[in-house]
Amino acid sequence: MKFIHLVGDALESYLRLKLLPGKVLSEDETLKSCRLMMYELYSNAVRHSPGSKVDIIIYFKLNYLAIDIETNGEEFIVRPKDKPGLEIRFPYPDSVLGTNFIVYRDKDEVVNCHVLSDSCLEFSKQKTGGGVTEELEIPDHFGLLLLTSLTNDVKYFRTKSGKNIFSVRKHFPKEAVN
Amino acid sequence: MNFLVEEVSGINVVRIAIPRATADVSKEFKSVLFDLIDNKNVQKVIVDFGKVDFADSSFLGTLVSGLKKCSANKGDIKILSLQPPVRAMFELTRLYKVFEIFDNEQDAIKSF
Repeated sequence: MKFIHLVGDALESYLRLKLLPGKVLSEDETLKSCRLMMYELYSNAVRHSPGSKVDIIIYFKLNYLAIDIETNGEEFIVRPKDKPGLEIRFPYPDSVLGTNFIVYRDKDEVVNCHVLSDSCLEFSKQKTGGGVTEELEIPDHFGLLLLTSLTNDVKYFRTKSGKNIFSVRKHFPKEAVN
Repeated sequence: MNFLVEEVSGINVVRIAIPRATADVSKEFKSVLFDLIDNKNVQKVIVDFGKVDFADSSFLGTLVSGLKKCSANKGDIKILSLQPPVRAMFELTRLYKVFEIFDNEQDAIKSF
């Protein structure tokens, strides 16, 4: 973990190659938010699914940056804030397919977890307009709030072979990508 | 020592003495903070981020855990000297709505 910032440095170098100068609004801010996204993705993967191997795959496809982090550690367990006591584990049963659960909430926003298939979860942030909860929440899924704030698409896959894949997509203007 | 605790005008100030407040040091921070709240019954705490130029979700999560504990003991935690990148994290996570943030230590002390 001591040298974890190097993954952010690597991403920044890659983005400087791929993004055309002057084509992205607030270039410095964009690079900073991408570094933070990479940091959170990597540190959460390493901390929450301690395994023996982490693979990072970074690429551009059309106008979006894709980052997949693969680990071979423990699975991500959904503990919905709106269904206390419930734990959703892989493979996700038919009874929850297509269902939304709240995994983080504060006064203004929630992070929803949508069960896309028996092996895939999708996370998205939604404004609630305030007043949903006065309670301070954080420890479990604070990283997911950051990831859904900084990216356009966040998914988690669990494979039968025991791999965890956190996959994020961040869109850029088409004319900005080299 | 990554964290220094100093008493100023009767308020406990936890000074973060490293530039990166991350998961690496979250446990140590939790232990310092919880020791003040649980064992020393401290109710008024200021966390000084003046030397910090990067904070991650793990560290901020620990800070909120501390606030929850402190609030349960009828206390409060206030934040001092956020550098721009850390202030951005507080804005992104809307923690600026949860914590009172000060640029000046005397103002933070007087606010209790």
